[in-house]
Amino acid sequence: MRKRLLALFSVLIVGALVLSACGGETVVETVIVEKEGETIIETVVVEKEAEAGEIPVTLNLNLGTEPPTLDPSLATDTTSVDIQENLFIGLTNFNPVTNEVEPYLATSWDIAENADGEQTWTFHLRDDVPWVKYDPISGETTQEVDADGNPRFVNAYDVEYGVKRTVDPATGSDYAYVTYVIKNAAAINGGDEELTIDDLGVKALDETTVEFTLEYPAGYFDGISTMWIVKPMPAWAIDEWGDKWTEAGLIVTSGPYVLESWIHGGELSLVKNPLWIAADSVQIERVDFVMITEASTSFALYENNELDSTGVPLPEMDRVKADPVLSEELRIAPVPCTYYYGFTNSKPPLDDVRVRRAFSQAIDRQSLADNVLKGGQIPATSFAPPGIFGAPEPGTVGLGYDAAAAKASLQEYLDEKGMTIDEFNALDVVMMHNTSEGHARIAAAIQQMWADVLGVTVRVENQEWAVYLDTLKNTTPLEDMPHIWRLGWCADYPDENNWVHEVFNADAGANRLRREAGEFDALTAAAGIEPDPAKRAEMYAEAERLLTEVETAYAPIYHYTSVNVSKPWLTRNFPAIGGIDIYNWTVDMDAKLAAQ
Amino acid sequence: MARYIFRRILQFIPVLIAISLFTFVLMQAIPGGPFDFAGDRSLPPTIVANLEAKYHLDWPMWKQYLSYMIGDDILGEEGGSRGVIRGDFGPSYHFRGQTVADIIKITLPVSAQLGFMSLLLAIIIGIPAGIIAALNQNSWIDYTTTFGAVMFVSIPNMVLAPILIWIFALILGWFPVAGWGAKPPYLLGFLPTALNKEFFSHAIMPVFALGTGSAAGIARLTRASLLQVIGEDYIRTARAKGLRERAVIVIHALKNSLIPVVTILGPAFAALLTGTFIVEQIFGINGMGKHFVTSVGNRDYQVITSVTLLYAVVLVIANLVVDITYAWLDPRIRYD
Repeated sequence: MRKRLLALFSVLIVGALVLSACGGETVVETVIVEKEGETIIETVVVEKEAEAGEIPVTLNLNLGTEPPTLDPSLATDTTSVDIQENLFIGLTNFNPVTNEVEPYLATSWDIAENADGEQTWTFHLRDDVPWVKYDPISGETTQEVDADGNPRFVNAYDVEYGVKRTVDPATGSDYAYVTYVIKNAAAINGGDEELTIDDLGVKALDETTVEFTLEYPAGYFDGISTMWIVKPMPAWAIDEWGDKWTEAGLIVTSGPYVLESWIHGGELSLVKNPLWIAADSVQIERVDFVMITEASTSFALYENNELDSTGVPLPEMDRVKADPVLSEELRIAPVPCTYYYGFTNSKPPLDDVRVRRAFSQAIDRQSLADNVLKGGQIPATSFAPPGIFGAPEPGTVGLGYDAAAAKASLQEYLDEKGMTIDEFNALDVVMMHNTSEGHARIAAAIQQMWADVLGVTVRVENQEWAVYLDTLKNTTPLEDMPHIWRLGWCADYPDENNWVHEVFNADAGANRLRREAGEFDALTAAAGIEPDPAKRAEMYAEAERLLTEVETAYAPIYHYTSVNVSKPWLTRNFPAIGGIDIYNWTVDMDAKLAAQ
Repeated sequence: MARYIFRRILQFIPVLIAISLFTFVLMQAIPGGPFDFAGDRSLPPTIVANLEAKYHLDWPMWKQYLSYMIGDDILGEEGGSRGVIRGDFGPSYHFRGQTVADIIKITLPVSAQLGFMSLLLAIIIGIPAGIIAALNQNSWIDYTTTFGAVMFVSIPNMVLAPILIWIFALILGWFPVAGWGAKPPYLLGFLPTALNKEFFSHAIMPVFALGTGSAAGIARLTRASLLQVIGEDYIRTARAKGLRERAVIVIHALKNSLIPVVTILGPAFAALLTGTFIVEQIFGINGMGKHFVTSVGNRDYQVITSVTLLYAVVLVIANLVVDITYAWLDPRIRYD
């Protein structure tokens, strides 16, 4: 009996498989169905005729990971933001080459002061950007219509809604803090019960004009206006679908591409939005993303012509540089990120500037880039990388590698304290990083440099990322803090305010450096509200100098680069602010097909 | 037998509750929460407070656990959780907008397909190899098999998988580099909709990478166990009464010698079915294995607890099946 049941079950399974195998061309679709009175989203298999005709101009890329969200209010990571930049229009945009803020949805903007003496930014919007939705079953992109059947265009009310949604504490936006420059945003987001969301300093004056009132003057607000968290958002779609509104088949978008399909954790595809205002200039018709974490596998796919562009894994670097074909396809582009070692400024012996200076000047950053990192990284002597407003040119401000000066600086400290180097080493200086092969390799190299130049022994420790961030909080007792620790910072918007002020200002930032507020802190606060750009840039350069040369509160190590290979048939940008502006790229499809 | 099975299933309940409770408490005991950081940076306290309030992480831990297990309405609290008992595993904190059930629904079938085929391969290769080695003890066949088994047990997947990709995908071009040939939705929720060339060409390398290690283990165990059984008194009796050698081995020795093999197949089944991190990662397969690892780093509490619970369920069921199989393999074992 048992055997017979088992046999029957096997037959059933095999039968089902055979039947399904004979089903012919099937495609997976997301549809909305009514079930038991409830409207739900379901994925179904539908029969679809293979479309005859030409193969669309297709780009194949690896995202590396599942984008955690396609909701502009909730995104925090580059993967999510990269996709959103191709799906949604923003108020303004960065020029991929000059890095300047350009008109996008807003055609122009003016800065003024209102009756209460507050700074206002008024954006004048174009009125011809349609809200669209892609239907996975018909494969068509149609413009959204409102309840009365009128076509929907992106307007100032959508901008107001988007900003309010980001600030609303119920949304739970990680990046809401960037909007705190807007009047009342910090209070509303912090749960102030006296204020409602309507007290927020953003208002649509009419369909094409939106006005922001700021908490304090901010010369960098145009940089913030490029960001995903203040993009116009479709209120009706979000109200209807809740958390699920970003799924393929439901998502309403306004950018150059629409979301065709999204298999979470596996694949994501975009197709060109035919109703886009500049559809004629968008050459790539289809983008197929895979989500492969393993860098060596991604590189293998590239070598197999299955990806058009990918990052180069470190172990492959030497081969790529030596290979006549791959070296031609290699492109090293700067990325607006900085890798640095923080000093715990109140923990002996790092509480003495001479010790900190010795540790910073003993790091041979060029050697580190050439022999350990191998990706053309730019040695850093100050914090903000090139391309950020107010950032000094690397090497002009701050302390670079200087073995003699480093040695002398430490010796001066030792002489004053009457210490020998062995007594100094008995203090057991700890350097900590979060667990990662790359950070460990850098730490080992720098540990050796400290030993060679200064004769100091530094103990290197590591912790898992979330535990590590917990350790670095400025509430951690001083005895549990490592003396030296690594962190990195990447631009949210390309302005020094986002760098020296938000990261290192003892009052505004997390103050992991455990500094006493002083001249530097007053200066970065003043620079943020300074209206004259030239003066602001000067103030930031001075602030950078104070923090590195005078205080040496931390040691900048290098500015990141992205190391990519791209097939010859792909013409792409490497925007200075990062990201992938696929609507500006082109693929020579004939060459691509010929290679495959 | 039915009574035995029923009793065992009742025993599962306290086991699973204990596992979920341990996982839940241990997870929250690790420093750092899911919203302390976004990618490479830490977040201001007001933002963390908003997010923790949204996901009820500001509740006391016992209440969070009950909300997760039985649901907010039974608990008499505001909130959308319907509880594990009603199939709601909660939201993912990292993949905003996705629920844990969404994640399992997409990734578990892929892992199960890969794991099932790998186990099948392991059994098909491992058991016959072990038998042949045992029956030719100390001959060159035995040595070759043992050598092969030791080799495949020793080569870790993270070495074997890239070598396979390099040889069979890049140089020979026989198989695709990465990916999986079946996409959702799945037949009956877990089977591929089409068993075609696309499916098998993607599956061969990962199944081989995953299956050979287990096959080697099974072969070694089968060989050792069969050699031991052949030395038993009842085998001598069978031979003494004049049975043919073939009947002695197949009918009397083999069935009994499979007991240790079946014992390890239970946990192996559970482990392979719920996903393996390294093979899935290297072959770019969208399976559940990665969630066991990455959810810990993300402090994605509901994902960790749920995938652990799921693994536990598969494990206890697999072990029950193993115990039932014992009775069939060895007539001396009775449960009534």
